Amino acid sequence: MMGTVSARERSEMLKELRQQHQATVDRTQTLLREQKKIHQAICKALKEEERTAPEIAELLELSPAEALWHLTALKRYNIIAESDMRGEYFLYRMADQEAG
Amino acid sequence: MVLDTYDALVVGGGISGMQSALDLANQGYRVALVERSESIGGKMIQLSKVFPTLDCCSCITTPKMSAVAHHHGIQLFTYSEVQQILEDSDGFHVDILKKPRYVRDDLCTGCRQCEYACPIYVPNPYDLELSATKAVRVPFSTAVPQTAVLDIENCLFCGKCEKACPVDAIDLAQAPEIKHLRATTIVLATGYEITQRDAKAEYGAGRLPNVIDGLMMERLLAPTGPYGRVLRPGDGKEPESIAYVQCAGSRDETLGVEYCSRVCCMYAIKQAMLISGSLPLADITIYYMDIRTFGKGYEQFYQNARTMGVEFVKGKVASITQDENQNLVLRLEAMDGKPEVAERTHDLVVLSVGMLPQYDPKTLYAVSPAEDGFVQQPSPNLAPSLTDRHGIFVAGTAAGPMDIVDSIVMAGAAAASAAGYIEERLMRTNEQVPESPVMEVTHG
Amino acid sequence: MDDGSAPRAVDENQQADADNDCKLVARTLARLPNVVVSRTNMSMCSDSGQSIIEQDIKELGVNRVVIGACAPSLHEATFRQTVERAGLNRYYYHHVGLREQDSWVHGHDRILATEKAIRLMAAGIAKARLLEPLEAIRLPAEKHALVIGGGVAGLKAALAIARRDMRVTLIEKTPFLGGRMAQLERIFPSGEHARTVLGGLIHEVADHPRITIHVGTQLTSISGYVGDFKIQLTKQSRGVTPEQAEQLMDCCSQYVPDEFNYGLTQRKVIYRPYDGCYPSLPAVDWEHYDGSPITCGSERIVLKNDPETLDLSAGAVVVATGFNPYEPAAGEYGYGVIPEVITLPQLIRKLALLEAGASLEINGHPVRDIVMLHCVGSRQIEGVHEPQPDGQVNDYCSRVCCTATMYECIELKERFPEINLFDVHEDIRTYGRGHEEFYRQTLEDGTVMLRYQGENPPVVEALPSGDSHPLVVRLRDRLTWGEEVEVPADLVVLAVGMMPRLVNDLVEMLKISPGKDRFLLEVHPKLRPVETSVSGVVLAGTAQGPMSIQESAAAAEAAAAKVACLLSQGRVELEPFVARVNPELCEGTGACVEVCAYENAISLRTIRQNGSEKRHAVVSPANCSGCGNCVSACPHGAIDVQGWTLKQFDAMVDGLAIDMFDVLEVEK
Repeated sequence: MMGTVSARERSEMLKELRQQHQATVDRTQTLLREQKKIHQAICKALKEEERTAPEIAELLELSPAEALWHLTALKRYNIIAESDMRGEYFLYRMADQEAG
Repeated sequence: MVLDTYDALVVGGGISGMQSALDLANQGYRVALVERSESIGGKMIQLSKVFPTLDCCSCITTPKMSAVAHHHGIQLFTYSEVQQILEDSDGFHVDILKKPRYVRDDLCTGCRQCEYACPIYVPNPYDLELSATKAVRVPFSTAVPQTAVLDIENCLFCGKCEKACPVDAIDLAQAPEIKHLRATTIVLATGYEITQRDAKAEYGAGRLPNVIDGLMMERLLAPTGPYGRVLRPGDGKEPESIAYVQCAGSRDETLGVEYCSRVCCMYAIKQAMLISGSLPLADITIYYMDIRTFGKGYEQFYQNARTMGVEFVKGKVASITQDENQNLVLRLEAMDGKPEVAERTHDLVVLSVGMLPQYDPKTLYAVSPAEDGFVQQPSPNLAPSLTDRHGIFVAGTAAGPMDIVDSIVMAGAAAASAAGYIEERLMRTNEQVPESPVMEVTHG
Repeated sequence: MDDGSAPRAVDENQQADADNDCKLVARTLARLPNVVVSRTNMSMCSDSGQSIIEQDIKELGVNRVVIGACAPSLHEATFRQTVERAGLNRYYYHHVGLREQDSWVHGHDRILATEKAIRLMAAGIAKARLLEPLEAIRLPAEKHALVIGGGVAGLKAALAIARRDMRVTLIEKTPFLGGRMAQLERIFPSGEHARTVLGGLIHEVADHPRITIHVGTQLTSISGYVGDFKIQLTKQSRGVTPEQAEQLMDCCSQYVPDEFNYGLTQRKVIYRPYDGCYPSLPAVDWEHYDGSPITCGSERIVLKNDPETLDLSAGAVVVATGFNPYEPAAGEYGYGVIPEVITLPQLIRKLALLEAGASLEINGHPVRDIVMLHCVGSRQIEGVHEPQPDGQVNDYCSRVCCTATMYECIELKERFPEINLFDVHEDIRTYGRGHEEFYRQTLEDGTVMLRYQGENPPVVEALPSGDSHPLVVRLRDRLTWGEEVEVPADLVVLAVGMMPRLVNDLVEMLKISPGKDRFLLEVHPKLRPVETSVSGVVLAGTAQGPMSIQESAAAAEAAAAKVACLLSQGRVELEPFVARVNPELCEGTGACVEVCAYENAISLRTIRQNGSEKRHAVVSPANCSGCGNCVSACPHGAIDVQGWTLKQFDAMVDGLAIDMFDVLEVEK
C-alpha cells in the first residue's frame, strides 16, 4: 500500500509537514490528549456498568452536554452503544466486539 | 472530462442550483456546477422529512444529487469557489479555485478507512456540531462525491490515515488549483444562511444547550442524526415538553430582519408532527404571532397538527432562562386566555430561526443585492429570475426566503430565462458571422 | 438478484428495531431461488447506494434488480438509470413500493408489516425472474407547444418556450389577452401599473415570430401523446371587421353586466374590456348577444358567429387556465343581500373607476368606516362554513389576499386619509418579499387590527335604517383576550380567495386530474412540480393553486423549461409498457379492437401468409396506453402488455402466497 513513496520518504514528509504546521500540531496534540483521557475514562466507567450521560458527566466532572457529545462520538465509531432507558435517559454500554 | 466552454455556469449546489443545472442540461446545454462545500445537496440534504408530503428528505434530494453527478451535460466542481469573472463578447470567463481536499478525488472510493483510523474527533458540521466526526472524513453518508476531505486545521500529521488508505489517496501536499472556463450565462443559486442561535440575548444567546434551532431539530429527527432519535443536547434527556418560538430571527426589527422567512411556520408544524410520532407522550407548544401556512396543502397540514394535539399559543416570547434542571422558563404575553404575562416551563426549546442572505454578489458578479441583502429582482413580477446584470440570473433563496417547492419552481424559471438568453446569444453570433456554420447546441 | 431495500417497515423512532426488521427481510429474501445478494440500506437512492447496485451487477453478475422502497413514482426512473449505467437493460428492474403499500399503512404492527414486506418482495422477485429486455419507444417530437390561457402565466410560458427556439400556439377562450392581471391596477411589490406591465408582455408575445395567437378559441379535441398531440381548436368569429367595428359598437344598444368590473358597471355586447387591450379590435360577446339586429342609420345588421375549426399537432400542452375570485354565496357575510358588502376585486375596480379627488361613496352615502374581512372563501372549516355547491369547503389558504388587502388599505388611506379602517383577520400572511412592509405601513396608517379564531368567524349584519351606519361586524377579538367587539361600518370588503377556473371539459379531454382542492394536480410538488400525470401536459400559474403574479410568472417559466426538456431534442421516449400481439395465437377475432378505449391503438390488418389471407391484430405502440383491456378481451390469450405479462402476474401471485415457514429462518 505504499505506492511509489517509500515508508522512509513518507515519514520524512510528515516530519516536514509537522514543522510547517507547528501551531496546529501543538493544538491538536493537546486536544488528542484530552480526548483520549475522557474516552478512556468513559470506557472504564461503562465497562463497570451501563450509565447515562448525566452519570458520566458527574463521574468525569464534565458538563452533561459535553459528556453527551463524547458519548455520541464514541457511539458513532462503534466503540460504545446505546442500551435501554433509565428514567428519561438512555444508558450506554461498550459495543459488541464484532462491531468494534 | 473537464471542458473549458459551457453554456451555463450554475453557482451553488443546493436544491435550486441542482434543479437549474438539471433543467438546463436536460435541454441539451453544457453546464458547470460549482459548489463551495465538500458535497452538493445544500441545506436540504440536512433535513429530515419535508412538508407537506412528509417524504423523507433524502428520498427527494439524493436522486437529484445522483442525477447531477451522472449527467453527461453537467461538470461538477465541488469544494470549489468562483474567484473571478470577466466578461467579453464571448461571454463570461471564470476562474474557479479548487480547494485542496488533501485526498485525491481520482483515487478515493469513500471507504472511510481513513476516518476510522484518524484519532482526532471534531464537531460535525453536518450535524451542526451536535455530533462528532473526524479530522478526515467522508462528509456524510449520502455525500456526492463520496470523497473524503481532510480538515488541515485539525490535523495531527500523524500519518494514520495515509497508512489506512487502501488506494493511496491521501495527499497532504495537495495545493489549491485554479480552473479556467468560459460560460455564456451564469445562474446564481447561492442560497441562504440561518439566523445565528446567539442572535438574541433574551433567548439565551446560544449559551443554553437545550435551546436549539430549527435546523438542529431537523438533524435530531433525521434517522442519520446525532443520536438517532430526539434527545435534548444538554444532557441526553428524552424531552417531554417541547416549545417552538416562532419568528425567532424574522419579523424582528431589533435584528434588522423585517421580513418573514416563509418556511418557519411550516417547518415548526412539520417537526411538531414528527415529534409527536416519535414521542407520543410529549407535549408540543408553538408560540406564534401569525401562522403562515400559505402554500399548496399547507393550511390543511396546519389544521391536521391542531387535530393531533399540537398546542398553538398566540404570543410573543419575551425571554428564555434556564432552571437548575436545565429546563427552560419562557416568559411571554399570551394573547389567548387572561391578559397577563405568563411563565411556562419546557424541557427543550426550538427557535424557529429565519433565513438570512448568505452571499453578497456585488464584488464578484457586480450583481446588486436589495435592501434585505438578498439578490435584487429588478423585475419582480414578470421576470423574478432576472438580476440587474444582463446574462446573470438568480434561482432559489439567493433571491429571498422561500421553501423548497418555491425554490424548485424558481430554479426552473431561472433555467428557462438562462436558456432564452443562450439562444439569443447563439442567434446573434450566427447573424454576425454568417460564414460560420450554424451552431448547434451540443447534446450531452 | 439484488434487493437493496430501504423499507421503513416500522415506526421510525425505533430505528434500531426498524434496521433489524429490514435485515430480517433481507436475510429471508436471500434464501429465495436465484437471489444472488440481498441487502438493506438507509438510502439506496443516494449516489453511494446506487454505486453498490452498480458494483453488484458488475462484480457478482447480478442480472435482475428488485428494490423495495418508497413509491415507484419517486424512484423507479432513478434505479432504471442505475442498472442501465451498469450495463443492464433498464427494464431488468422491478420496483416494489414498500412505503405506501406497507410501512405507512401497517406502521403500528411490526410483525405484520415485516411479513407483508417479505411477501411483496417475493412477488417482485418472482416477477423479476420473468423480466424481458425492452426498448423505450422513440418517436420524433413536434417542436411546437400549445399554451391554453392568455393570462400572465400563459403569456409568460409562451414567450419562454418561443425564446427557446420552438413554435407556440397560444389560445385564449375570451376575445382578449391579459386574463385576471388586466383587472388589477397597481401591483405589489413593485407598485407598477398592472396593464402597463402586462401590455409590454403582450406585445412581446404578439410580435414574436414563433408565436401564433388565437383568441376566442378553445380546445375541442385532443389525441396522441407527448411529442405528437393531434389537436382541434374551435375559434369564434370576432363578429366585426376593423372597418365597421367602431360604428357598430356605437350603434349597439344591448347592455350586459361588465365582468371586467365584476358587475359594477354595464357594457355593450360589442366591446373592448379596457383601453389598450389586445387585440384592439372590439369583439362580440356571443354568450350574451341576443341575436337582435343592430340599427346603424338605415342599416340593420345581424351579427353572425361562424366558428372556425383549426387542426394542428403539438408536442406539448401547457395548461394555464387561471382562477376565478371566490364568489360568496348569497347572504355570506351579507354579500348580495346588503349592498354595502363588496369583494376586494370589486373594491379595486371601484377605486379604479373613481375619478381622482372624488369622495368614496357606497349605495349613495359617504364611506367613513371600512371593515376589511379576510379569508372569505379560504381556510374554511367543515361544520363552521357552508359547503360549496359541490359539498366541499375551501380549506386552503389563497396566499395573495392578505398582502392584497394590506395593499388596498394603504391605497385607501392615501386617497381618503379621513377614512377609518378595521382589518378583521385570523392571521396576517404577508409572507412575500417586501410584503411585510405593507403590513407595517398599514399599522402605521392607524388601521385597527382585530383577530378572530377560525372556528368562530365574524358576523356581518345590517343595522336598522336611521342608525349611524348601515351595517355592523361582530366578532370575538383575540387581540383583546376574547372581548366581544362590534364595529359599525359603512362598507365591508370581503377579501375573497381563489378558485380554479372550471375547466372540466378540458380536464377530461387531457385526462389530467384535479386535486381535492379542485386545482389541477402536479405529479409531485418537489420532484415534478409542473408536470401532470399525462406526459407532455404541464401546468402553469393559478390553474395549479393560488399564486401571486410573481409566482405565476415563475411557474410559467418552470413549465416552459419542462417543455424545452421534453421537446428540444426533437424526439421523445415513451415507456414500452404497451400491448403486444402474439401472431401465432391471434385469430383475428377483433375483440381487442372493440374494447380498446384509445384511438388507433390496435387494429386488424390482413396479412398474406403461405398464399392464404389471415387477419390479425396490430398494435400502434405510440397510441397504446398499456391499459390491458385487450388482454382480457382476447379469447385466445394472444395479447400481453410488455413488462406486465400474464405470466409475470401469475408468478407474482405465487410469490405473494409464499409459505412463511419455508423461508423464515429459525431465529436463535
